[in-house]
Amino acid sequence: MPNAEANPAAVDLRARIASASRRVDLEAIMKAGGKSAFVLPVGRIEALVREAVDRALAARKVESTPGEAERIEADAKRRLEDLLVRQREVLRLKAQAEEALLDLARRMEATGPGAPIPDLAALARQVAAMAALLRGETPAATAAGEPIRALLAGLGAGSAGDDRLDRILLQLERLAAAVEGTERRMRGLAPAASVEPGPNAEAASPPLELFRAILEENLKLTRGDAAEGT
Amino acid sequence: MEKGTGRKTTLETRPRMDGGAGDEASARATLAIGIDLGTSRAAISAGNGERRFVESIVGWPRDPLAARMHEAPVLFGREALENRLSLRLYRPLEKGVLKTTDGAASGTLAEEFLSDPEGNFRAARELLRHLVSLGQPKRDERLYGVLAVPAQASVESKKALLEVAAECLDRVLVVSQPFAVAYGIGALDGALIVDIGAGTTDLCRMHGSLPAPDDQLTIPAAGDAVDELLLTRIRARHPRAQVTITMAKDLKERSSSLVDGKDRITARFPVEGVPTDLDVTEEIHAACGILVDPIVESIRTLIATYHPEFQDRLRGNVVLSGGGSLLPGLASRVEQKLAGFGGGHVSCVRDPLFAGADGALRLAAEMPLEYWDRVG
Repeated sequence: MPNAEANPAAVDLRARIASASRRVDLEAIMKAGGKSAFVLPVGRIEALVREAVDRALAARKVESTPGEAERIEADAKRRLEDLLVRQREVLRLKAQAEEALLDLARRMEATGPGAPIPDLAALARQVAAMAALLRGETPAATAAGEPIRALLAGLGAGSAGDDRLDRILLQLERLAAAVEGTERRMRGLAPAASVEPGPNAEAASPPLELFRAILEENLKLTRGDAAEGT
Repeated sequence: MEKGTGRKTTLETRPRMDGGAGDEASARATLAIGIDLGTSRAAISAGNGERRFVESIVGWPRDPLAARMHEAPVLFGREALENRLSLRLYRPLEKGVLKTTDGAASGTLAEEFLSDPEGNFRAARELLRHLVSLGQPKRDERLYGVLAVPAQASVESKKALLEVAAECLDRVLVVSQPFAVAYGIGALDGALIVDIGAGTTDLCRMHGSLPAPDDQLTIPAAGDAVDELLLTRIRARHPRAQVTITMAKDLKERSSSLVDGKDRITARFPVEGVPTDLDVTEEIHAACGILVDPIVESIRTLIATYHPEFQDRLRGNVVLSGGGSLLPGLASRVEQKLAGFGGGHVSCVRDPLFAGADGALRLAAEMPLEYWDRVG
């Protein structure tokens, strides 16, 4: 059995794993709010809260219902706090998963003579899938099942008796499942981004004007005064 | 108090995508849905995590015997195609919109399908219902869907599709496919989306607001055109081979490439009933190659007619999507050709099959509920 330490392909593999780990950038995900399947678009929620508060304040001028605006405002704030608490829970799970991935990378580095050498191409694909899952670009259900089992098989875990890797990966699988469960509980999936974040990744949440324009175009369509090509 | 409750509802029952028990007992759960209705394939992404696609084909059993054999009143997608000899088969969309004309030219995929307008309408309705069912909504969920259709679909086509969709969704909005892709990947500003479908290729430049008509182009150089040219070329070179348009399409999806290489591409087709391996390398390269020049020319047109200070942004962020973007070597070939017009960077979406549906879902989920309330 070749020595992983001396194998250039294994070195390349470690670099890929480390790179995949680095790409799980929680800060960036936070900043890009709404770009991740697991992270709520905080800016969008805040905008909605502000809008609700504005409406409440406007309503106070013309309506006499006592305390109505205050109730709406307090309720909106409570809602935001609740969402942020759940957001933090997801981020904590993501951080744990990231740690497990880094741990896996370290263990791979420490692999000594006699350890099974995985199918590097397959392993790289699985690591990429795992990283995509952690970045929130892949629905958890598709990344947390078969790929991890394939990854285990690729690493030879279970066949050559390297139960350390087995444990790490099972931990990773559990974390992924936890993230998935939380994701479903808190808001279901946001659509997975299908490409790497491009130059627009830092863009703010879409403005309400855009939604309004889409709505107006559709209303024109149903009213019968839409123009061709819009 | 009633008004207050209404406002509270607006804030707290934005389309939830889990469909599970929420913290508002009084609110009926809402499931956001994104649908990309393509000529060849239709895809759905639902807020509960379901992502499915089906080939845009609908078939009804021809007679009682067929009905008994299939044990289903209607078949969809690949299953319908594989049983087409015993089915009345429809491919209800043409160039991404409801087919409203009868008849089909020989050597086109359309000749394999019935094409009466009434049947197409029924087929589109069944297809959408089936697609929505694949999203696995719960019985009591309200379904808020965004439907992505070709950029240049006519007003009448959009209205017809809205009408069909309204039968299986509580609220529905329609947007262009390239816009849905752009929205899904967050490329709302300084990007040029090229959505290569089966019926059409739609191009759309994004500049931070809803694209206007002159921001979009639709060209016929797309998957169906490749299939038709491939069939013509194979028949010309191997006149005794028995090849149908469906076989040519399958071959394209299996072996298409624009990557220069020495490997020969062979396909097994019957020749007078005998399965025979035929060399189709040149035919595949020639057929796939017809996409490049029209796409490059259209990209060039959209860049040239854009604000001169922002043209570099567009050329630096050309994104290919749709099934055609799976063609190996297409992005680099387009990029090479753009070098002659000032250069550009061309990338592909990671998951072209679902990029439109994912974007539509994202839009459905982020659209404020009060806006949904205004949709009839």
